Amino acid sequence: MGNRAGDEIISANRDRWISKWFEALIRSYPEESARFFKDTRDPFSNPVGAALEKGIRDLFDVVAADVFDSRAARDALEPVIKVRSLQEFTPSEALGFIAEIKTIIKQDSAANRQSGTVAESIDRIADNADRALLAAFDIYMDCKKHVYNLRARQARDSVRQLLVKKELISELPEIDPELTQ
Amino acid sequence: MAETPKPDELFENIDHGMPDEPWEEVPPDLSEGRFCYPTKKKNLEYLDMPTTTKDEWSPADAEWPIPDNWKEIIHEGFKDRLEKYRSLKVFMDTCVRCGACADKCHFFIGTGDPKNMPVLRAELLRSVYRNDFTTAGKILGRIAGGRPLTRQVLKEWFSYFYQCTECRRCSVYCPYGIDTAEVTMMARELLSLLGLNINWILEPAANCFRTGNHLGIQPHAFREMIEFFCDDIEEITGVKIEPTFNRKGAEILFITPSGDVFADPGTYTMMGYLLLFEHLGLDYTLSTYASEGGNFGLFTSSEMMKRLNAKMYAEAGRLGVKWILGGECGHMWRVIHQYMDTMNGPADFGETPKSPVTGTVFENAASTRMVHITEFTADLLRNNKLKLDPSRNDNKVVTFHDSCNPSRAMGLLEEPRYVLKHACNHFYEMPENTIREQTFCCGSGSGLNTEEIMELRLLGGLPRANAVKYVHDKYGVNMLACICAIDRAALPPLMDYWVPGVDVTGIHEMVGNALLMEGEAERTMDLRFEPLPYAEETEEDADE
Repeated sequence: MGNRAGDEIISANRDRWISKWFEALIRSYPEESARFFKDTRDPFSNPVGAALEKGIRDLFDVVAADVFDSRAARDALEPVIKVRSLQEFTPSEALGFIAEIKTIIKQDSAANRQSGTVAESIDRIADNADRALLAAFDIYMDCKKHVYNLRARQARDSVRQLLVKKELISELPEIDPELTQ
Repeated sequence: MAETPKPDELFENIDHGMPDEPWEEVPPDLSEGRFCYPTKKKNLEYLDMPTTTKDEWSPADAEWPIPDNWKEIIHEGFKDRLEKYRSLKVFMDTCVRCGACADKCHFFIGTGDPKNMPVLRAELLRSVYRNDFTTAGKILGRIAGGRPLTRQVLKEWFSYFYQCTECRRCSVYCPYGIDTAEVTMMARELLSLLGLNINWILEPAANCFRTGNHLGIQPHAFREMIEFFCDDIEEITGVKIEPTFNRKGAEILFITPSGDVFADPGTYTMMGYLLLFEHLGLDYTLSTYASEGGNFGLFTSSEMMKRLNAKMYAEAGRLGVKWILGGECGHMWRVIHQYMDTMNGPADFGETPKSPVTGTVFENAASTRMVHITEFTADLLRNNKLKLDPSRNDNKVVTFHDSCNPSRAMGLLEEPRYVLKHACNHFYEMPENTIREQTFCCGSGSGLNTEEIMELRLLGGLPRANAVKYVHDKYGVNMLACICAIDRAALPPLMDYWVPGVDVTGIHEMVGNALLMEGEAERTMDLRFEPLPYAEETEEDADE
């Protein structure tokens, strides 16, 4: 369960931590691209930046919650990971940003850690971030599998249809249910 | 035993900073999945093009199979082109690096790779130009923005000029009117001097040269495929269509990309054309030799483009038709509208196209003798010559993707919309800065629609998909219409990844669904054999 002192710290720092987390994510891109992703506000001119920003915002609410909601985590992470899994990153680079919230909060709340209740809230965020990271691996692999399927489908369909239409291969006909009765 | 590093330590080791090297020294990523497979040597041989020194090779190889005097070949090739094309020289000299184009490329927007900024992509070529062909560059070298041509530069060219779809969105924003697609075209020509081209371009080009179309469908098979569609049409509508092939003396020759003949969902668009022509009683014929509207020469070299383009005109002359009606294709229209006249034209057959139904004369096509089918159909609609029941498409909530070439290279913006709005009741536009001349590319144009670079294609197509997602979420759009065969092949996987639940169609598939044909049976299915919306209702009523 949440506690008052911890919640206060979180709500007081929310925007700053989100902004730092977003910065950490954006730093994984070369400087010119990072600037573009960060500064271009129109979501249609900058779909990646928009997805990353919203993703971090939503993900923060997930890790700051009392109870980890895996559905909400997936909703927050999926739009981000759909992009990052395609970009030129290794898997650890693509997902590493999730753990950075722990460092950010740790550095920021060193002074407040003496209080037991605050420490509890901060530990909870760290635990939730770990869970989110695990969920992220599942999503990452789903995205990769999706791409492999699209590749395989294109390779298969490009020729198969011609063979079927030219009757060089024959597909099984639909079975009339009345005949099987 | 070594101590296992803590997660924090691992994350701290990830370097998020800018690389220490200047951009010129960052090598391109030529790992598997980041490049298109190179062409087979036989395609180059068939097209009389320079070849690599080995049959099989990979861009991931450290050593590429190019002749020892490769630098000399490129230098001479560059020099020839600078003398031949004043535009190239102007494009090399005029860029002031204002950056207006930088964030307009769909590949940059998606990948975040700075070398996909059009300005930097062009700089890959421009830096060599400065070094080799300008006085300042020859004397000052790097200080004047020059850099010598090295094997790494060549690899960079291959990587990034095959990560450009020649869509020309960047050119729309360039205050100097630099056509970056033409910079890419020149770079690809130079690479081709060493046999460095990709299979997804060269194989279709070679097939087109031999059999008349990209896949190498032979004349009898082409004919059988069309007849197969006619059987489907008869099953759906009860109307028997019997198109003619290679018929001398027909008024009109119809040419469409071969994708409409062999790849879904283009095939349904083909059925739409056939229904339309039958509806009008048009005097037309199809050619089994000029069986391809697409021209992959555009992605290879101007010489190849000219050779492939000439085929259509030779066939039109041989058959003695008056003019050519062209199907829903993308880059074919850039070739016809912008290059054909200087390369092969003006057309040496027939007459200025005139619609036999409305009497409209298409003066805009006086020189090329070729009319785009959406211009033709829009004119029919404007003159009330078509009987349509758009409610047959009521289960489709449609938006329109302006295919890059018809929109930016020929200004065909209103006609497809005009036709769609007559054929469908539910039409919604995507946001303004993603349509018309600002349209975003499908991410797979100019010969990049190949499966080995699926990740790159999905990233390049993200800005387009993102705008589709917006209208999908807001208006329930479930159908993305376009007028390009590559779009019809590239957009389905793009939608599948980013916006599941949105299908892809050509404009004339929607027209074909809506057309009220003389003597037709009551239709219960659309051209995909899926139930019509009111047929579903009727069934439900009957159940009740």
